[in-house]
Amino acid sequence: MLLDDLVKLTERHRLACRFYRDYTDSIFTSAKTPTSLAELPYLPVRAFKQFDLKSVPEADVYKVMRSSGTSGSHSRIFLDRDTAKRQSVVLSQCFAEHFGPGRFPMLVIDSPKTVEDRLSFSARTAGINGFSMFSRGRCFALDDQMNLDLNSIRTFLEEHKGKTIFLFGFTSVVWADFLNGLEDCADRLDLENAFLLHGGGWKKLEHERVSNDSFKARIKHLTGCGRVHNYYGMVEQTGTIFIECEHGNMHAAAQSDVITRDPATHRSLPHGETGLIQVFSSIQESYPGHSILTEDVGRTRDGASCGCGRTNNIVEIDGRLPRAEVRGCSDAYP
Amino acid sequence: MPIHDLADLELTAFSADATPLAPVRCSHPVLLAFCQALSSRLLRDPASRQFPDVMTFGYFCRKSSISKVVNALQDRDSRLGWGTLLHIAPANIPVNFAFSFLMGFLSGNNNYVRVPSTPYPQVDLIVGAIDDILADPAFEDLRPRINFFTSERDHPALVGMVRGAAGLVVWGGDATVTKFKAMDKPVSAVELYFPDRVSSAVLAASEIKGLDEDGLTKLCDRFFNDTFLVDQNACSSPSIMFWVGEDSARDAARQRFWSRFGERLAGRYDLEPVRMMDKHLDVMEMVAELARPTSLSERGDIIWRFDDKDLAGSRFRFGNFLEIDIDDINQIGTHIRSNEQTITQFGMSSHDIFETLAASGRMVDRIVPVGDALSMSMQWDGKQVLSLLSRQVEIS
Repeated sequence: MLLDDLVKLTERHRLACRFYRDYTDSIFTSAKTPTSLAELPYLPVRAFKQFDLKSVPEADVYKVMRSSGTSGSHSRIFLDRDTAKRQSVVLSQCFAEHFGPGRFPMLVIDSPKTVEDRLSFSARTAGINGFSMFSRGRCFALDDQMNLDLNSIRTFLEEHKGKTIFLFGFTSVVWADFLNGLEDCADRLDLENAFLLHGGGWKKLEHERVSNDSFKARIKHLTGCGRVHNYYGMVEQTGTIFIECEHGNMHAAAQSDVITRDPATHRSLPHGETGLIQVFSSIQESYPGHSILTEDVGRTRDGASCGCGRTNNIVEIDGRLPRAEVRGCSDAYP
Repeated sequence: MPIHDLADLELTAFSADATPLAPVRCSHPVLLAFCQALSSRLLRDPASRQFPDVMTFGYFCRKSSISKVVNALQDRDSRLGWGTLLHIAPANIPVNFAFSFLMGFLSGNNNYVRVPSTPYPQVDLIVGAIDDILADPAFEDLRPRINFFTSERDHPALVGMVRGAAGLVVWGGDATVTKFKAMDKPVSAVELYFPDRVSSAVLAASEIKGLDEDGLTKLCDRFFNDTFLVDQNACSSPSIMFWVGEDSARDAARQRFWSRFGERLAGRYDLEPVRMMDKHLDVMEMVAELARPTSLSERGDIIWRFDDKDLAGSRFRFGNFLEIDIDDINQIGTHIRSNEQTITQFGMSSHDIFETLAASGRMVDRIVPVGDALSMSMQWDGKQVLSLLSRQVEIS
């Protein structure tokens, strides 16, 4: 059971990461074994930006993953070989379960520049590189100026004629750069035999009030692609992501779960109530990232209520907490 | 004269070849008249009533209180401003810019005040009121002397302003203060800096134990005003609470205080979600510094009370407090931090605390009753600001 795994993992991290133990001993003082996810200790997601948290010796660190934050500081996630491997295995299973096994010709809705600049640790770079493990042949749909690169796209599609194409991109880039570009050139791409996986949030599209339905309708209209799946995930819990099912619901992946907490008190909330998203993942062994309170706002629903057959809990994301200015004398000069 | 963007601001006042706008005498009646007009305008405006800090500023500008301040200035008839001042106001306290402006204005200077870019309604209210008053022909001469602007943190034009300013008033963070200190400025420039400070409350246990219900509620509300009214963010908001007295009295007093405070807080105050996260991160910061667990004597929804003496150097905000027990006030000296600014006290004599501190070799800038932590005056961080910002001319 997930809870048992997470309880064991908490114990493991407490033994292996002194700082994690000191912190949990300071504010999660209940002596009894957690009987629900809500009772497990958790770390605020920004902890990974402010502190180096790892449960393996330095020599075992195989890879450090980074993500950029809006503030410029980035998370540092320490992976050993086992955790890194487990992350790709779990991600592959989840991906295969939605889109079938194997690899696909991948059309990245972004510019090659996004992955070339190795110094920019953007979530976009991480997403593209991470999902490229499902690619066999890769093409970028936008040029360095983020304009549609129709020639490259056409050559790529011609080359892979008859195959299922894997479209991948950030929600806002797909909407603004890709779809606007297609509309402007009045050219229709035939992507009927493709599926789109997109993530990164709707925040940049807020002022346009883009709904998931209108997003899908516009893609269908301009490309013929009818398999459009949003996902929710973060570098702090790579591997276990929430992929939108064919009924439009983002279910937790295997070995993961989600709850919400009241933003003002951090008390846990029942399904349906809006609060802060807390994510759990039992595969994160090299760093204490198995229970993370995010700054994303949304709600959960019982997965069994969905007609797709998956029973894992569903998450709905509204957006990020407003980044209120942290007020204090030492932050005084804005 | 709304709030300008720095890019649109006429900056000739800072240029070396400009004809300087003459400084004003500190005793000039127009200064007093302006303050009086501003005061009535603010206190009359129903919009101000939502903001206790705007009201406080409005009260401060009343004729009676301003005359008192100005009359206390030595030789005020032979005092005038230095010239053009640049003020860098802090972002954490919305009305602080207005007090900074007032400091420069009453000492006879021409003022360029950088206001917080955070859109505080208080800033708009006060600047709007000043605009209205300046429309009166009686105050025409004051118009070029009062300028408010916003700019990015490192706007290049700031460099030129600092290089040409007769004086500089900079409110912290320490990083900001350090930066402005290092900038090129006229050798004669008058510089006033207000870096980061910390503050404490000193509470006499036996007095609190003996309070009647009304008195207890009043104390809690005054403590609320010192802390949560500004998200415990002002340098003068207490972060450490010293409970003074015998064991049993301390426990009883603490119990009474927190239980009533919790009742008074309920429904009046919500911690902003992001701050609730920061609260956790602050604890992580403490644990990282200690390299061991710390302990909380209470972890409520908002109030988290710490009783770990080694945390005296840590940051306490967003409802976090450090409580330190002492048997007698004369033990307080060793706990006073090097940048301690304000002691708010309840049930004691501020004068006695001063004498105790003087004997201990540690000192603070303010010792005031609980409830007065945020009361600004023209004397701040131990400095007589009006006197520093004006030139006293010797005439014989």
